[in-house]
Amino acid sequence: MTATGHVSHDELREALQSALGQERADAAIRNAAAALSLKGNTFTHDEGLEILGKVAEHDGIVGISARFARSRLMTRWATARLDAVRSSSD
Amino acid sequence: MCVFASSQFSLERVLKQTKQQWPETTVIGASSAGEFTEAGETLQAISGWALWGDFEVRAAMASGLTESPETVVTALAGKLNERFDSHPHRVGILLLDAMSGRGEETTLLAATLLDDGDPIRLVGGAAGDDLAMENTWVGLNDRAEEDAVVLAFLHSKAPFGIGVEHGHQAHSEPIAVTRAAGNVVAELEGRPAWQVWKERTASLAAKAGLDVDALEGNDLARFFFTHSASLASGSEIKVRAPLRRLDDGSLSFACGVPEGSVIRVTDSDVGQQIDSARAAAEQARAQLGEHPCAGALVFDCVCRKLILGDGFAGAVETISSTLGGAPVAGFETYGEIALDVSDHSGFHNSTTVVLAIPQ
Repeated sequence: MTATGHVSHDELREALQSALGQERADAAIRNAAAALSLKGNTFTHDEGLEILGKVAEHDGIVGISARFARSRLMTRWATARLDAVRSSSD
Repeated sequence: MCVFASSQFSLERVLKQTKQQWPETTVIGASSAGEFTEAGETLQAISGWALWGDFEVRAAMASGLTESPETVVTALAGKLNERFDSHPHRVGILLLDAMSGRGEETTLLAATLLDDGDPIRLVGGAAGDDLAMENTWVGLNDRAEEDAVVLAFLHSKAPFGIGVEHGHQAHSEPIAVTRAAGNVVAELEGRPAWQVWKERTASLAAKAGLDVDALEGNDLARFFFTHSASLASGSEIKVRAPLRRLDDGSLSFACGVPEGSVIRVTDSDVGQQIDSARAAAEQARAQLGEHPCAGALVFDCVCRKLILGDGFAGAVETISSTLGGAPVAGFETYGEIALDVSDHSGFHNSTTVVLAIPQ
């Protein structure tokens, strides 16, 4: 995860690969990004969440692992933003 | 209190008798495939683990995992949303029916649906049945059910320690999962899954003195647990053990294996199994910080006993000694659960999971 509010394809894949394996996780991210007409290998946080939201439309383990990853990344990014605000106000 | 009972016993009867002795205590349990404490390991027995001290405990059970793990976890979430300001540290113990084939799904849904902004940490295990691979049970207080999950939250003033490690490595060339639905893999490389699996494992089986074509019943279950599948996850592997060969040649797993994934055959040896037990205990110990370890609950894959044989008890002793001689108890599982705040997956096979309790 970058500090500038961006997330790479690889980081999104890593959020899914321990449940799906890296090959299936890679395909899920690639297909979802294409379906959303998102190009390149780096996305904004909002785009990253959109991609995981698209993957979450799948049934079963693929969709469930994407919902979980989305939830954890939202928490992590929100915490990072709060920490940044706190440190800038110190 | 946790009780783990061989499938030779009625889990519900064991729970009822335990509850009768300690009526004020929350009792959770699972059927098992081997039972142990730091004093030793045995089969067709019951192991027990009791937690006493300044803790808050809340537990719930729900059934219907095969049909809808989401409905089941939603039912649990409605009963387990209490927090305690005086006991800010929380860990969930999740026990589930392995045969439902919903291990990872249930774990991730629990961590998603019960997340209140403070990411949930989970440990636990999939119930066993002494390698019969037919029926596995979990229970709460005086009731036991199949196709069910029990979740107990422990709330503490000091942090808990969680460790998880496997001792397997991937061997084979990649094998594509070409047809799968849920936890059932029908085809590998476009052919019936068992046909491909036995071809790819035949040489490993021969080294172990086994004829893969002749494997049936308990022997087949033993072979699956010692020669499992794995998914690649960066430089790591995630082990996925087949539980059963179905009549049509499909392979049934303890959780979803998606179509389009790629698996490899794994195996392990005694040294790797001892090292992984120690590593799991070290991880758990480190998370306790300055607090001594009061004791530990251990979820150990049934494959470890199959690989270690008489050395299994020594591996449990290693866990206890790594935790400063703390008492430990647990059971041999068909799948292990460990999900910490930075993890993206929580259901494992072939691992040791250690929950260390702070004094």
